[in-house]
Amino acid sequence: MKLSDVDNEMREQHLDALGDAIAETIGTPAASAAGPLPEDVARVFMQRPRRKLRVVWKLAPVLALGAAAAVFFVFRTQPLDYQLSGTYAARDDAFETPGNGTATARFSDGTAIAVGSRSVARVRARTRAGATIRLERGRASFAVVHRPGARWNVEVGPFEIAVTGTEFDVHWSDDREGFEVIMKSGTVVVRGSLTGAGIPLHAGQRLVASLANKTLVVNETSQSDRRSAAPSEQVVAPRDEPPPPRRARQVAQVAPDIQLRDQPPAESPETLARLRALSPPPFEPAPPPAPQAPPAAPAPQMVVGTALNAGGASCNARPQPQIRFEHAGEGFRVLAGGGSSVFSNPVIDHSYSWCGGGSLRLDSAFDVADSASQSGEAVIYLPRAVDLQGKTVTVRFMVRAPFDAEFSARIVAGQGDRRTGSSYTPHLTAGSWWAISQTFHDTPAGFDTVTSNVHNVDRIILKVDASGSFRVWSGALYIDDISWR
Amino acid sequence: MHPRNPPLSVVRSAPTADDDASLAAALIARERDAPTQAWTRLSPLVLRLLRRYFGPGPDRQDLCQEVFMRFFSRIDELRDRNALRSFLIGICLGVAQNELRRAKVRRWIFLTQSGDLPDAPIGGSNPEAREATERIYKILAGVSPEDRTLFVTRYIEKMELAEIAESVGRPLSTTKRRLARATRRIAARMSGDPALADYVAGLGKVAR
Repeated sequence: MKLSDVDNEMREQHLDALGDAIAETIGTPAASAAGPLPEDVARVFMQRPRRKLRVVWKLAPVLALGAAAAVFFVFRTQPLDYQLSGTYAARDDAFETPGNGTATARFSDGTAIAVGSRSVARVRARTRAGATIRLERGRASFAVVHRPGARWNVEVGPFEIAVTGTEFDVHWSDDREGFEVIMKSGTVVVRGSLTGAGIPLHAGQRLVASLANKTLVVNETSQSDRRSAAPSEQVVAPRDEPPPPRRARQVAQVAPDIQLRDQPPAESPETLARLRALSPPPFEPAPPPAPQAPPAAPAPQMVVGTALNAGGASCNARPQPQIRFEHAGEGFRVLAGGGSSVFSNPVIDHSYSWCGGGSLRLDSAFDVADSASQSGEAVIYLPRAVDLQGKTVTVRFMVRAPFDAEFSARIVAGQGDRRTGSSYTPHLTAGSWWAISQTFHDTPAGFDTVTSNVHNVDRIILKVDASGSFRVWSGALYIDDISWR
Repeated sequence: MHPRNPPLSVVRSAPTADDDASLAAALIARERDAPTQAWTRLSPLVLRLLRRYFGPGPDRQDLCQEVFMRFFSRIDELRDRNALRSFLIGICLGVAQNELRRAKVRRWIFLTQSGDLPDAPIGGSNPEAREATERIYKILAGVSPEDRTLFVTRYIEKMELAEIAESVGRPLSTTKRRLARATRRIAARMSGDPALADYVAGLGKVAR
């Protein structure tokens, strides 16, 4: 026998003895201590148990809860329903309106989508939170009811509009690849071609994009209404201009990352008539501004010996500039004013460049005597915000203008509504590529800003002021190779 | 009182199995006088078990009635008519454990800051046994209801292991293992009590 067994047996004996002592101490109730059988206890015996029923009743709360959950789940997961009204021809989930009719889709959450004439829309998917609508052609007005967790998407060609609750109009012309969003209230985010990581739109804004021209413009509709004569400033992804056919390129060109269309396709008369029917015409690039005044006398034009790749061997230096303006797909956008601004009509030019085969060209019109036309800003929105603290930004640019045009320039970094910049580099002349640099710090000197935030710069601004004695002149500003080190 | 004293003999007035089986049959058949028979025959057992479970104090008539109400309402669940007594003891232990839990809650909510209930007077002629009884129930108040159940049924009520297993509704091996564990825990507490240390003195390691 093991020692532990001996211990256990002894313990059992001792505890048994203790149990006996306890039993003796507390005693045993008398046989009649319980008394007669109480009536309520006996009544329980007479009640025949209904075991099956009891099981059901035990499960009743669970079943009821499950049923309620199922109803709730079904109700919650029930996709939104919708009804069509108006004049339309429906097939599957799509509906098309004739030339003289409109239709409205009213969803069960209160959202209404009014589809204009000659339009085709399709309800691609429906959930309890919203729906995905594809506008295949034409125009539509959306009034999406704001609800917690609402998710609405509008697909328009290669664009997608993410909506939570707002009102806006959408136009889409597939044969011209034109796209327009006019915001009435709320906010949306437009994603797709030309939009980078997405462009948020707020009430009162309008976005116009043209795939054919590779342009995307966001402006304030209210401002444009107020300035009917003078187009407002626009954020533009400049279109890529085809290179001049007769100019022989002197250097090998770097192939652009994306295939760009050299010329817009020829429009049929019907197409042009339909586009003209859209009001306002959103897709056609704004006409170049008329010069405010012709030069007093024909001025001799500058002569540029080497049009492309003027930088020569210096262009082989590494690292390459962050923005080279080789093509419109580099992700930058340009804010260029309309006819009232000094700079307008931004395009990717393939005639003149410091390095590579392209530069950003803006038409320019200066009037030294007019303060509004004395100074121009070429605002280049960067593909993403960058930290320029302690870094030196270099911008190369050239002005093609009469030889005696004189100007000064400076670089400004923009961060939201704040700007940080340098003093002017004066006495610059037309016909030469200039490079100006500015090193940015949090506390700038010599500039009239009160605060700065160079850690989060979203745009680089080349500010050009006309000076000298030649009062009125027009020409072109070429910007190439923006870098920061 | 000393553990080396000869253990007291326990007289158990256990009816024969046939008696229990016929009573069970009468109960299941809903015979008119079956509940009175069951009450008369089995209520002393229930009262005794309740007294031993809760310790010195008045008889728990209220709990005894609750035990029989459950016993009568669940009599159709009895599978082995010879196990009527174990069936009733199982119900009684369940009621006692529930009452213990309720009493703890009541004590947390209403009673003294120390959580101790007023001492009930303990009868008996042996002062050592009275003290030992008082001390052991203080110890049992600090262990889990299951440990208390196993200790009481095994060492005070002197039930066989198989009977305990059937009453608590667990396999015999599990019951053995849990009884050994409960015994170790309670013995460990007893070894720190001067009035009870003799019952575990000289033994091997009692607590792990």
